Amino acid sequence: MCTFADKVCADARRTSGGRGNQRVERTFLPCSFKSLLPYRQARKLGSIDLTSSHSHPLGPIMVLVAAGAAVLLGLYYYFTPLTGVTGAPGVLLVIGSSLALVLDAFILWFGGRGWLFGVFWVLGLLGAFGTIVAAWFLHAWWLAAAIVFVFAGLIVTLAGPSQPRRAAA
Amino acid sequence: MTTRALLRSAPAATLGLALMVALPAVFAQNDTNTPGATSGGIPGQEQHGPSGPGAEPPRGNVVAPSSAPASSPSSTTDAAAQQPSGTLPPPKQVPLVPAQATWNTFHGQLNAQKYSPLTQITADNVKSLVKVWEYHTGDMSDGSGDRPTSVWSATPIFANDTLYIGTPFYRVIALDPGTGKVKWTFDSKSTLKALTQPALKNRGVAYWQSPNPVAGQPCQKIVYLGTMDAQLFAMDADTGKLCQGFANKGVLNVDQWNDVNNKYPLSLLQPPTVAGNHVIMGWAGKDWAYAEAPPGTVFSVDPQTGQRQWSFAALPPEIAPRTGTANVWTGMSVDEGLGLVYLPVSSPSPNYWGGNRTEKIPLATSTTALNLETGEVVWSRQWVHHDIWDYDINSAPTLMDITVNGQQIPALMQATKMGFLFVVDRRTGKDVWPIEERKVPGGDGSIQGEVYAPTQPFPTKPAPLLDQSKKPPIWWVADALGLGQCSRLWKSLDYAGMYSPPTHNNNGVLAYPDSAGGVQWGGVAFDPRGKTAIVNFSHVVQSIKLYPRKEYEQLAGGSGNEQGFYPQEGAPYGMSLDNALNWLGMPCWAPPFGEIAAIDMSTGDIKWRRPIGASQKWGFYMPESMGSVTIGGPAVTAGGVIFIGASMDAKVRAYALADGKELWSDIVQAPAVANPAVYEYKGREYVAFIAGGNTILKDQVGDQVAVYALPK
Repeated sequence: MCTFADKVCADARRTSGGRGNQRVERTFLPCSFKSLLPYRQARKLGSIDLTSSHSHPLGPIMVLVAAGAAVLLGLYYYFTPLTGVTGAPGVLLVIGSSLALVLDAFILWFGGRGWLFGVFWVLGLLGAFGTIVAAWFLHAWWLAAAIVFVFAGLIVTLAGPSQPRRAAA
Repeated sequence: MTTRALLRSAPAATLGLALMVALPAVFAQNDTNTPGATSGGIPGQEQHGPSGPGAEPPRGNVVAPSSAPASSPSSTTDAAAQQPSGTLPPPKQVPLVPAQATWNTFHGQLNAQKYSPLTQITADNVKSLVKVWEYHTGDMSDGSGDRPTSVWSATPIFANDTLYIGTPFYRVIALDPGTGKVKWTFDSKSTLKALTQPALKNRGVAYWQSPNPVAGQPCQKIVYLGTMDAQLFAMDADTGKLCQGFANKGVLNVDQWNDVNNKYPLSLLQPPTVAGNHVIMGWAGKDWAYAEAPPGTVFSVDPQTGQRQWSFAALPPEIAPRTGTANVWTGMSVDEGLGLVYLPVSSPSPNYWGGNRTEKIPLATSTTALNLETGEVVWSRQWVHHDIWDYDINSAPTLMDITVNGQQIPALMQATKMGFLFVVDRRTGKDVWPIEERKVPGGDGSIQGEVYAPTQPFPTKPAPLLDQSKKPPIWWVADALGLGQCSRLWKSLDYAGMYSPPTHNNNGVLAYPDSAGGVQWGGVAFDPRGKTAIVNFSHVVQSIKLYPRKEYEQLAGGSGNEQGFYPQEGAPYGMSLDNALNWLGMPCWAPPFGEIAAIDMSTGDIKWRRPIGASQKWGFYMPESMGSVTIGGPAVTAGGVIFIGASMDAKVRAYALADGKELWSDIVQAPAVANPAVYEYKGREYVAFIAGGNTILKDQVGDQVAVYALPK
């Protein structure tokens, strides 16, 4: 089956070589995710201007992994008996905020280094702060530990070098 | 020669002892260590002196002949609001504290000490405690469907080498005490409707065994289960099969005796108290619903036949038809040596208006001692005169032998919703430490037909567990987040001390402690070796307002569970009862919200007190320094450990008896809102909690029996 990843890479090469500019159409998803989607479906996901620089992936990946772990831990706390917060609405809150951090990680990764980056970096920081406070009051210690790594990822994202997106010549 | 030995000698010696005990009481009145002496009452007003001899005979009551219905089989003494006789039955050679570890009643032992002499688990090794088995009954409801919420406040009882539990779906389950394996189950198939209380409630089962068992015959050991619809089931403790010789093929319809103001069934939610040849039952009703309700009769029946032996009513028969209740809905305690059963009697109906019962009703809101064999009133102490606050006496008094000022005293301690701990001689009801009658606030004229008691009893020792003399301080966090909501509420509520009467003015009256505060049905535990009493209690603030009937009808929507609007149908006033919370649901009053305390019963002084548990809302735990509202009670062991659940955070804990240090905790399915059970089986000491939850604490229900022991 022809995947979007195959198609878009070929398109990018064609566009770059044919017109001599660096504007390519691409989806919001990274290649690894793109490869999971059929071309037509993924194409509907829209496009982003890649003229802006692109974050080094280490920080966002840390945020992504840690926030993803927080989601899974939240689900564990919510569904497992005798966690002390089984079925508690407060756990749904941290699951929701952790999911928001997952989304934030993608935006930081692929949203470029413009104003969008700044906004979502600050939102990520606030979200992580709120989540860790909530996790603390839920006595969800493992979830709080995961959010510590989210903080670390955010710092790395900020401190790490930007990675300019250049299409192949 | 010990006091108990004296008691056993002869009735004459008993009379002599009564005089002897009166003397230390007089001496104790001169004790200046009275930290609670200024608490409560009207601040700044002259306080009245001690109330004298204490146990007063009722005034205005008429001794009436039996009111037993014709259907009652072979009743011997049916008593209605009797005059206290003051006559003790002949003493028996039964020690107050069982010689062997016993946990076969709701409070562990008939003395309600909740004490185990077991020493395998100690303060040093309790941190190693592990859950060795758990059992889920399946009998729980969160109220989301047609079935009402379940509230399970049972204590497991250990008897006949079996752990027996009753469930809020009115089943009995017999478990192996070492493994939790089911031996048998019994299903009463009782209706699962909230006929009286707002939830399906159960506090467990009771156990009796014949002193002279007949070999090969069933029902020589019997387990009793009561139901919401007033049926008492008796089943063989070995097989779970109904005892055919008991009442109607194993089922006693207690509602057959519900013959005055029959507005609802006499719900048997509290297991009967079983002592000697008696199964003694109180019942629970429907709170705050009616002015005229069934009078709170207590029944004693034969353990094997269910035949009624005697009954007791706190309400005089000429008053009963226009009021009701003054029932016993919680546990009782028994001194089999003295031959007395002690009843914690609740308030008459309606709970927050007393214009229909302006006469004195001395046995209401009291501790009343009955002759175990006849049901005759021996003595009674009323703890709230003309109760219009729903200050039901809600826990079995704890019986204890103590030494005060060099005198050995067979005493009892009555814990209360008010945060008072009354200590009296359990033979006579007379003060151990002075109990003073103090002036209390009267009404503001907004309530028609009401009368107010000019004074109320105030114990001088132990000190009140709460300072009820003034409005509790506001919690600044709740006030700030509520943008001053708490301050505004405080200003709008009347309060001139705990006994400020309900009013129609402003937002009503501040209730502190309220009917859910102070000490609840878990009562007081007692370590007879160290003479230390252990009690957990809550700080809760509510507001109460009375509404003239017309206004009430316009305002009242639905009622919540234990708060909201309530009709007091038949009275000229409906009422509302609300927790003092800000818009976020945070308590407006300053923490701690709940505490546990140890009291030296030789001096009456508090040895230590500390916050207990953690409050929890939407899963978020508040700091443990703030404590939690508590429902449930402690157990204490000779190993120097206090076991208790009771907190909102659904944890069970162990504290050091010596200093209150928290030693161990574990998470259970829901708040454990009864006393735990401590028992020994095959050489191993176990601690069993029932985690069933109670909507008064929070909306979390459970069906778990969690049993702990040291690792092998």
